[in-house]
Amino acid sequence: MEGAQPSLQNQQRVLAAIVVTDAVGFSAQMSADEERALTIINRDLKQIASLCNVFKGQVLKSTGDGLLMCFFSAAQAVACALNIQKKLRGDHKRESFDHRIGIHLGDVYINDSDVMGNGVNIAARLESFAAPGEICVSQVVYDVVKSRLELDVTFLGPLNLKNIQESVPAYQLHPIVELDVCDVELTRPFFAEGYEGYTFDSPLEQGLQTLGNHTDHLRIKKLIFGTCQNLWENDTTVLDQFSLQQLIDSMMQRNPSVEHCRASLYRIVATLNHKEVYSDVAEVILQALTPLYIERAAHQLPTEGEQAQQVVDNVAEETTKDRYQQVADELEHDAQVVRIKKVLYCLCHKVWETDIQKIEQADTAILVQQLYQLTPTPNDLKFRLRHLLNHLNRKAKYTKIVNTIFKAFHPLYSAQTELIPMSTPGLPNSNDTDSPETCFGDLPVGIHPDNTVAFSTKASEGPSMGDVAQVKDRADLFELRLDIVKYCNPLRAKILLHSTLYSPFTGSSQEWSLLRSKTLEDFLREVFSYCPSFEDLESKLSIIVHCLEDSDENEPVVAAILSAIKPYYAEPNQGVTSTDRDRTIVPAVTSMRPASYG
Amino acid sequence: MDNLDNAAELLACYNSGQKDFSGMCLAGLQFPKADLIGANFSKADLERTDLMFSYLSRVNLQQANLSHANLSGVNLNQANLIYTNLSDANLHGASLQGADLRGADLTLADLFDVNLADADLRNADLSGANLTGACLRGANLRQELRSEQTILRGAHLRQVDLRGANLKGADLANVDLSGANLSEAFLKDADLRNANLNGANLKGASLADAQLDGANLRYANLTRSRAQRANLTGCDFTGAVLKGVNFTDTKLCGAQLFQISMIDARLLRSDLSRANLSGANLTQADLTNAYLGRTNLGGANLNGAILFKAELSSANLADAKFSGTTMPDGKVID
Repeated sequence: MEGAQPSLQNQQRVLAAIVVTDAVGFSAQMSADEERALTIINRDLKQIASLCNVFKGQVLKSTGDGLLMCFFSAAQAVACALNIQKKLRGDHKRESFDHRIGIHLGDVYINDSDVMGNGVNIAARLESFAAPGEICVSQVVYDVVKSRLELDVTFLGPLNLKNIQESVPAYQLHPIVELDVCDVELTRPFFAEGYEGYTFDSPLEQGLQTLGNHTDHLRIKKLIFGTCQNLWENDTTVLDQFSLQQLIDSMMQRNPSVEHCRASLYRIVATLNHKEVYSDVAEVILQALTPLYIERAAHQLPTEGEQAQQVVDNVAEETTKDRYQQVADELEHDAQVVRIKKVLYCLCHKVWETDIQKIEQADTAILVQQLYQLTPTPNDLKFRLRHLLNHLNRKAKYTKIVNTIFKAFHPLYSAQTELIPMSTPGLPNSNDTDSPETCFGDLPVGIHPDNTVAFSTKASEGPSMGDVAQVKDRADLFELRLDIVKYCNPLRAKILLHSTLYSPFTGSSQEWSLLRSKTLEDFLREVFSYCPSFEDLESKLSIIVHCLEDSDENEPVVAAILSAIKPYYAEPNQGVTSTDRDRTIVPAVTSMRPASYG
Repeated sequence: MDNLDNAAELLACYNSGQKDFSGMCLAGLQFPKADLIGANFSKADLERTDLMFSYLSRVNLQQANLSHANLSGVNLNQANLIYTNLSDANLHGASLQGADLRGADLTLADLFDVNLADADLRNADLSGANLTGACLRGANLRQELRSEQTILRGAHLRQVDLRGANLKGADLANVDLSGANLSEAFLKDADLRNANLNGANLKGASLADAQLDGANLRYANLTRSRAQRANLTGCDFTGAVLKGVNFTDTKLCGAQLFQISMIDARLLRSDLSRANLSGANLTQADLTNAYLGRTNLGGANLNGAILFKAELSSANLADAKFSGTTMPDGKVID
């Protein structure tokens, strides 16, 4: 078997787990009430097929009262079979047949329309040995899955199967039928490798329990919070405003995979004083989140219900763009549109832009979209706005601006969470300070929101242009390329960047051809869009270097890339955290080159 | 010492102090990541060897046969590769800084993203080689004799870095140099006919006596470049920057220079017949003795330009600006 998802379209010989089902008493029922029997069997088979789909199997053919299915993992095949039996027997609300299931792992020949081979015959014979509502598996299947799944089994001994020369040792699996387990829970797959146990607890609940009850739960929350917000927060009153579930949701929204999550966590860990302590904390978090990612990956395989949801999602996606435009329109009608855009621009680009022309040229709808993507929940937005506000000179004036933005963004969030109704949004000057949806009238900015006029005119709003050093122009990367290849091996540099952008380089022919289809410059350009900040790139590279062979050889490459690329990044955060004078965020002042570059 | 049968034997010899493997047959051996710094492989047969990521700096490979060898990611800095056969070799991402490749056979070699900074490539044959993304900063590709020339026929030079490289007399006809960095490059006498220089950086490059007819120079930056006596017939300069260029005695017949910025350009004695300069900015340009037969100068800005003794009789001068311009008869228009 080659690859993760081999195609079954053309005739080929593959090693696969074959699952055969058969409805008990179907013929008898047919002779009694043909129509009813057909209705029930069709419903049952549809359900079996959809479960097969959930567990990444493939229905090869129908035998009329049963299905022949194929899986590339024995564990998935068994997990699927167990779920089929639970689903069909546990459903008391309607009639269904009892089904026998047989599973065997062996070579089969598959073509477009049929499947043949001893493996299929054995699976079919095993099925006839299964008791109604139970599963009969061969020894080889049992050996593969016994360590991964918690099973209630009876050894049947070596069975002499019709037309099969050698006897086949087999086991009977008894599904544990739990009463009152809801359908959703039953269809959730558990097959994923590395995930021990066979329980029906939601991975999210498990993860929340593990993390919430952990002795280090405060550090866990701080680290997750830091990763979500890109800011460190020690104040527990702030942390208490965010539930662990919110934070985990937000982190998972930003990080599509465990690896991304790992990179994000370690990026923060690298900035902390107690790196070792927090590395352990990061591992605890990753361990707890892994099953959630597995579950999420499994759910991406559409079942019938999900397909319907997808249609809804697609429609939603189409209308989303309009929604950003609507928000943008509302903001643009405000008299303070320039200040509003300055704030949006600053939150999106981490630069307090004083060039009015640049601000005016920036597309408001795009800024809205970017900021919305940075802040998946209203709390995220609130936190970011408040953080910026605390570092602005003219707090009073900007309190109003920030409130306007927060209010204008509200439709985005309420549309997103339609199913979970939120309380009505607070108005800019609302006194309802306890509601999380309230805006900034309650913030400790030291100035009453209404007491604004006296200030303003003299105070400057941002850094003067003289303080703003130019970041190196990314349009011309010849110098950067030279700086990299001068001090390290060009091929190693490409491999490292490839690994950072995609996945750790293993040397497969696909990876080589990708490496030859793009130049070092192409990779550098991708890095700029993939890693928004220098720190981000730094942590990603230092993590990935340990995932590759020859890390001794690659360490100098990382150093060469980082010192060469640094002048092309604006220095982030600096302004937000460091100064409380007039200027807020100072873009990079990194024209200085490392000494070795003389 | 006879020929060695396996890589382990060779590495053992090297580690025990033997550095001379000249003339040996080592074809097909595999020693990836080997450390063979400073060894002598001159005239050795290394065809189809696998030397990926090996350390071969300062190695003597003069006249060795490395055709079809896997040299990707190798370090060949300061190596002696004079007359080495590297045809069809894979040098992807290799480092050849300061290597001596005079007369080397690099036909169809894979030089993708290779570092050839300061390398000597005189008389090397690079025909059909893939140099995409390569760095040739300060490399020497200069033609020594009429009969001997660095050949780049059909080579891929997209995004190549040839800043300050010596390409005197190089054969670059029909070559794709789009997006290449040729700033300060020495391209005197180079053959760049029909070359693709789209978006190339030619700032301060020397193109004197170069053949550029039919070249694509769209969006190229030619600021302060010198192209005396060059043939630029029919070149497409759309979107290019030509500030302060020295195009004295050039042939620019039929060139596309629509709305181009040629401030301070020196165009003395240049042939601009049938060129399209409509809307061009020729402020302070020197067009003394230029031939402007049927040139389209409609709407061009000629403020402060010198048109002394220029042939303007059949040019289209509709809506052209002439404030402070020195006219063919020597009179200055106020």
